[in-house]
Amino acid sequence: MNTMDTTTTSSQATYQTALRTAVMTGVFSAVVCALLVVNSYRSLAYDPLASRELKKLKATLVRQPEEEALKNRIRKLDLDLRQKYFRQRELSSRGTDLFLLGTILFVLSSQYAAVLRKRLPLPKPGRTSNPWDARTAWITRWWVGGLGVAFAALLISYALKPQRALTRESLKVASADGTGQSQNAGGVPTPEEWKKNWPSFRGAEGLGVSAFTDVPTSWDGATGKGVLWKAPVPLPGMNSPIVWNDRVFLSGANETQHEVYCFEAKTGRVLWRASAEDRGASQPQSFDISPETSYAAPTMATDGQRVFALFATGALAAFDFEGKKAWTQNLGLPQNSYGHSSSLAVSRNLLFVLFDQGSIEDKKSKLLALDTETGKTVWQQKRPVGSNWTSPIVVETEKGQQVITVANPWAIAYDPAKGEELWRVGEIGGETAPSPTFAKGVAFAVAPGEKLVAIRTDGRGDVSKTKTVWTADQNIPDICSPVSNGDLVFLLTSSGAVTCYDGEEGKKLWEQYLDVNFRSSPSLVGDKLYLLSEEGVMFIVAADKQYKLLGKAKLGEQCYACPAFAEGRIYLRGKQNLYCLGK
Amino acid sequence: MRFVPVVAFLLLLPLLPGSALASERFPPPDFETGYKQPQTITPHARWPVLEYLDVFVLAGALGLSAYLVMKKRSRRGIAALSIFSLAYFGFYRQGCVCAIGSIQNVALGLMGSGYHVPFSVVAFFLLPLLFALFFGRTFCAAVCPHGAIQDVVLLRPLRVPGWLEHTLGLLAYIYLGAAVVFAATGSAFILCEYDPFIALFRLTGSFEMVTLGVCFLVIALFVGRPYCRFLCPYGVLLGLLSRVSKYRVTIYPDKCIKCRLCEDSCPYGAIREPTPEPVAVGRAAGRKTLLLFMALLPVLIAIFSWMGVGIGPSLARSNATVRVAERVWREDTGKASGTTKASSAFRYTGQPPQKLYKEALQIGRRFRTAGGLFGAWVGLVIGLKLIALSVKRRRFEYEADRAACVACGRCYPYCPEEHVRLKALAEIMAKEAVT
Repeated sequence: MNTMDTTTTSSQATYQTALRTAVMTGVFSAVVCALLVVNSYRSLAYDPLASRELKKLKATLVRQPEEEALKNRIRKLDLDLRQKYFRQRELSSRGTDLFLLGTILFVLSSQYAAVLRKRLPLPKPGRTSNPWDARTAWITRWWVGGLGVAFAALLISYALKPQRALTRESLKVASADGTGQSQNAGGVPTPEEWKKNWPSFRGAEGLGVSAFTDVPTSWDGATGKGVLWKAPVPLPGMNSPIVWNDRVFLSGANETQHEVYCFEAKTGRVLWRASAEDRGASQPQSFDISPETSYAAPTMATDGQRVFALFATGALAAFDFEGKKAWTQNLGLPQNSYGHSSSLAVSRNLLFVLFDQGSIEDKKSKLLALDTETGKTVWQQKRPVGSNWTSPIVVETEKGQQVITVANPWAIAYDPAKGEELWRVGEIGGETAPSPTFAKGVAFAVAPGEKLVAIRTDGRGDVSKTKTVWTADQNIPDICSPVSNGDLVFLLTSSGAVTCYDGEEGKKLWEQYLDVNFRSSPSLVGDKLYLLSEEGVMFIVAADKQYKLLGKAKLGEQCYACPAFAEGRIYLRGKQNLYCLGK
Repeated sequence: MRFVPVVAFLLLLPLLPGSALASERFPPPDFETGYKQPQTITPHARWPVLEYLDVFVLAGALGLSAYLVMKKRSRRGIAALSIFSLAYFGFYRQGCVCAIGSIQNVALGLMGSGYHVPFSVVAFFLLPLLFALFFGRTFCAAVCPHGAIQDVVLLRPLRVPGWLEHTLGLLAYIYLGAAVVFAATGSAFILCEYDPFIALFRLTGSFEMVTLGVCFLVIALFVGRPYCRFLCPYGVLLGLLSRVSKYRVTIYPDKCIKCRLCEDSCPYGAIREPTPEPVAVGRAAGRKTLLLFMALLPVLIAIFSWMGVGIGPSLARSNATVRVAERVWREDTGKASGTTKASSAFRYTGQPPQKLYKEALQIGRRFRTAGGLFGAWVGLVIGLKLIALSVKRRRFEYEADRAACVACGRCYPYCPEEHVRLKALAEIMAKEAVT
């Protein structure tokens, strides 16, 4: 009896100990848990960079970029906010360890207490507690059948779902069309196809760099030497030719007509000529246009399936390669003293239209991204700039694709997919006409007659102070865009000063005065620089650290447009004619 | 009411992985501070020898588990071993490598896709199956960390009605089929992606993963091992082999005295009672039902197989290549605006989309075949279950269901015969000690 009593007492004592431990660890865990929950809610809701005060101070800094005291205040606040956040994280981490320890002890002690208090089984007489009879089997069969039906319904609903997926029919993968116009099943060109063509102003990315080096270096327009063909362009225009496979496109316009021309690359024959007027849209009142820009200054662009043309009136039209109008848009007459001249740019299925106008205060400037197939606006971004004559470039940076624009007073880069502003650099003054260029992760923006700014493109926000690699202020162009191979940057002023800067440090390496006027921007062909004067003389200069004139070639007709380069050929637009140069 | 605090804790657990949620980094300051960003370092790979240690521990644990279940019949021993397994395979090895997930590696490896299945994964897949072939589900008993963590929190098991047990039990078969389809097509390891306990083992994970794990643990307070019984695909394989295992778990050491004391001892509903004496009434109807379901079996297989082929394209979207191909195609045909990270990354490679499209179509075809096989599997499982439910089996004593019993040993102490055995054993040992 004594032994039994002792055993019972001992068991009771163990049970009490386990129970007390369970209660203590339970309370401990509950307290830690409550603290953790509070901390977790605070952590979840806390975003150090969402501080109103910080945002406000940053906005002030944009207006007062030189205010050192303000910068220090922002730095301190930023540090405080980040430290607060990490303190909360540390607390959460330590608390989790304590909570888990408490929970483990609680579970073990409560389980042990439960084992010590286990009740003995007392089966009731008669029917067992878990009967399995014919009726139960019958019910179960129905439930299993029900599950089968439910699953079948699920499968059918998926099977009947409208197919958005790729199918052999939708792709027609195996059937290459053989025309050389449609590059893949979806129609969007591959990067290789993109590069080997000249789809927009100054080529594939708008950089003025030729993918081919086997292009002519000598010709004579007067004798016809080196001229494969010459074709008259019906209406005038300052825009440059674009090339896609076996076709060359141009636009021309006067006060009443706006047209697009498609030339056969092999012969110069006009394959089709189409009017860009939208008969349904209201036409703008007559307006003055500067002869320096004309009614058709913006260079066309193509996505490999359609061509797009923009005119000074704000009329925008898309045609397929057979000349059939795909869509039109009237963006409205832009407020532009010289006339709108920003060229179009394309990336995949988006057409970019830089539509800057008026003054900064007018807030009318914007960058539009239109669906190339339908012309519908995919996104648009308001721009804090005034009238502008530069063209956007779409380049691949190490941080992804960027649309880089230059205007007064900001050079701004955008995400082409969503239109979000990525970075901006300020103090770009003057009547901005030279378009930006890009090489080896650095964009080059020109403030006409003032300075050239080299900007690293991996920044975010206002990077005026942090990502400006160097600036230069000698022989800065006023109309012509710069060109670079990354190592060297070449500038050309309209009065004929050619200057070479070191791409990394911005050191001037050489300058040369050609004593002729230029409107056309320089182009880079391998290790040669092609400079086309207003009088139609092409200066071919070594793209090197020292100036060396390699040759000259005369066209014999005035030229304002930039050349387009193709395999073994150059397409030049003169004042009246389109030329194809080659062997 | 003692389990209320546990429920509360488990419900609040999802709020805890603050450290995991905090892994969403914000950008560094957008001004120069002089602070140098630390270099990103890649952790060293685990020492390869430790892979063999894992296999060695697994083999040892399986052997010990079989000994404790079959020979020693020790519930305490099994519980202690399962705690060890939870600590080692669960928290120390963070649930990886795991026998459940190994199904996917093996499926992918068998498809000849050029994927080499590591030795340890093969061992984790085969060893528990091999032991199941001899000793039943001794892996589930004390070696599987998933089972152990559910076992630990089990406080007041409720009896799941038979019809529900059998119906929900089919989900594990369907899950197994789906896991094999997704793994064999190289699309996804869904068992790992939706593993409910991995976030708890690793003390980190997405909010959804932690919540899923906590939900399972909350259910496990009242329903014994819900994941093992109704979802575990590896349990399906172990159950199938256990049906034909050489040795089986018995509630009693020698013979069943039908005292009914063990009737409610199993929290997993794996104890089957003796059947009543058969009666001639309804036997013909029973036979007809059986024949009907046997005839229905090929029909079910064919119908589900046909439907499986139909869902192939939908399933194919789980494949990353198909998804990116579809996106690129939609962008290229103007059906989608802008780009995604995946489509941008693809375009950055400079590869022609045609190649991507062809690959996507090839994967799509594989999914149609795999979908058909998956459907056939589901039809087979449902058909066989209906047949099994129409077969009358005779039992003369209380038995542990060979497929359902996870060999936890909870029923042992309920058997009076077991107490007799232990007493006799103690006496023998005492005598031996004296001599």
